[in-house]
Amino acid sequence: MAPVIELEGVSFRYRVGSDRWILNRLGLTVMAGEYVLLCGASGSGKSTLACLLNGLIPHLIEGELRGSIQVAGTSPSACQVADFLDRLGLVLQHADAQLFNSRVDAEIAYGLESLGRAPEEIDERLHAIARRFAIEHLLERSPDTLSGGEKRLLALAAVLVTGPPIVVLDEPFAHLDQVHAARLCQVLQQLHLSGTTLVVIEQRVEAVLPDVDRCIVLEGGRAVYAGRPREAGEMLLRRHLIPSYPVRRVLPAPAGEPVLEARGLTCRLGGQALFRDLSFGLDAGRISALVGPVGSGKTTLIRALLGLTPLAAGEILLAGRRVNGQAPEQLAAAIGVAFQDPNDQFFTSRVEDELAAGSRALGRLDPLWMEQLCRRLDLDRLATQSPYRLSEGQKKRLSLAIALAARPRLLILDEPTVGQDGRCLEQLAGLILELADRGLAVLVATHDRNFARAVADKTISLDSVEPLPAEAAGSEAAVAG
Amino acid sequence: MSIDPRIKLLVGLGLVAVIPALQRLLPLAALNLILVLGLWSSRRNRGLPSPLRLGLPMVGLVFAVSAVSFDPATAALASLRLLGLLLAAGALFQSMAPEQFADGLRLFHLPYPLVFVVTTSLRYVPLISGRLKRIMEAQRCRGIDFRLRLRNLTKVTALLLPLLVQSFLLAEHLAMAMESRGFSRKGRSRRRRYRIQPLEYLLLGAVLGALGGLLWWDRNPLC
Repeated sequence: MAPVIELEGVSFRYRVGSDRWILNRLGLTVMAGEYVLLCGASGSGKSTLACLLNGLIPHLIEGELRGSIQVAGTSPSACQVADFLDRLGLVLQHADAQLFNSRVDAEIAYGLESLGRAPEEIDERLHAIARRFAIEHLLERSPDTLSGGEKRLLALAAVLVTGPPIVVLDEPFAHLDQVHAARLCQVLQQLHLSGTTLVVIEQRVEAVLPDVDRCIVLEGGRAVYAGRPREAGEMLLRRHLIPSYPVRRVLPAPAGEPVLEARGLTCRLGGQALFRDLSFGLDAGRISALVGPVGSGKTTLIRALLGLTPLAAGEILLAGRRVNGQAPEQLAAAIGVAFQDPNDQFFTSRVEDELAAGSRALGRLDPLWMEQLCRRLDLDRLATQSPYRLSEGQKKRLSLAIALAARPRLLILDEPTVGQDGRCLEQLAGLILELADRGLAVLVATHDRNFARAVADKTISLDSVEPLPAEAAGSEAAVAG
Repeated sequence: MSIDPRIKLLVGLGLVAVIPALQRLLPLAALNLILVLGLWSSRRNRGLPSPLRLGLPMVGLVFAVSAVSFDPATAALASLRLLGLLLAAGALFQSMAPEQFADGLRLFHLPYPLVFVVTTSLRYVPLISGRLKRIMEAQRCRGIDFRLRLRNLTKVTALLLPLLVQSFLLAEHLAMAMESRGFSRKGRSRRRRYRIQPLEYLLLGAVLGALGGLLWWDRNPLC
């Protein structure tokens, strides 16, 4: 096998003069037809490397680049990004930006149109790839209306339709539930068998590790490990790339009234019942995992609890008081929530101001509590930094601190594990357990079943596709009708 | 029958040229009525198209300001013209997908980068408005009040700043995705081939003739 990707002494930094090299004298070789997993903690240079491989760096993203890069016998710096289309396909991390056409068929056809293919060939290849990905029924729909998993498959189909011999995927499993992740694994396996060179950059290492030929670990911009996946397991655990969670607590049955009680909740979306007659209680000091595949209604249920989505039937009691129909602002003092994307909330120029904004609006600003929160969540050193300049893990911790700023009785976390590396997941699990020990009721909506198993005392399942094992499911399973 | 995008664009252009030129209420109202009926018949049970939904308050505002500044007749004329333009835009975008719109513009030999910018902007309007809604909900859940009160005026930064940052990030990611998929590559082809049928020429002639007739009626009042 001949090498198709060769990097020798590659260094890159985004700002000339900065002392932080994202890639630092990196050497790497990928052979034709190889299936490689590239992993590493947040900020280790994985996505930067992906951008280097098709020339986005230096053509679109500026910085200082040193060393030699050869991809399919050509240096990406020497030719335009667009001219690299038939040599290397790059599936980017953000599906929303990647799907820029108004219909699925137009999205898939775009790359072939760029290559100047004839209309008959475009139609033929478009339908062939749609059949392969089982997305033929979606061809006339707008990408906006697709689920997260469908969007990811479409992004991949839109790149593969041009038949590039090398495909690089940046965090393809980030937003996928188990069903879609398994389907993507299958597609990648087929591609590998057909001789395509695959480089998968991924934080959810376990999802893809058993399938790959080789695992490369980046740390501080260098490859610190390159070897067989079977031998990598222990090293990945040691480097916290596969999270190792604390031992679960054994708790007695809850006593007293639940912090929040849901009775017979039914919610309809577009005339269809998303969930029906759902009842559960969230107790002080307990962690509940809200699980279910993408599209099962986890986020809608959270929105209903927060007063953002009206219910078709049922009632919600907060500390024994009916709160149906109350506005989110009225519930904010009692329910703290950290949404999936922390960037939705940041609007000040300093971490400390961001943290205080919500509790100040609620008239519950407590400087001593803010100080304690900052210290516990390792934000004290970052207090004067801009929230937008934080790493993904730091942003997640800040959004958790924002949710806790008004001292709520219930904490809701919507998909807290997305985009987090193993070390961040371990920290997050530790924090949630500590908060529950302090008497907070916690609800975690997640499609990461390992995380749910690690932290949850009980589960609320919106789908019976793959329930948690009985020993992990805890004392009570909610009723989903 | 699928109508060639060039025909649709020419009809749209004809409407945009005629609507501001009409100077009497009756022909303008008649044209608006025809457009409303056309839109209603194609969108039963789907509500108003978004350009119209967003523009209707503006029509009311134009009427109110013109009625105060000039007289009710001028106000009615100005607001009907604006309504007509919104209806024409609604009908145009209702009848063609952004890709078809782009194909039409490219067939008129407009440069591809310009066409792409126009159509991608159309595509991202709902996405950005969805993001704005998501940001507003996230901020409300931490207790920030956005109800229409004078004291809440300064809180608009809690909406605009995250939206601005996210829009810049989206633009950056979009540029990366476009280039990776061959945006600036030379020799681009089109998946759809278009050929104007004789019937479509007839249709275009009939619509432009009707618009000409409307202009004649406007200048030569019979009733």
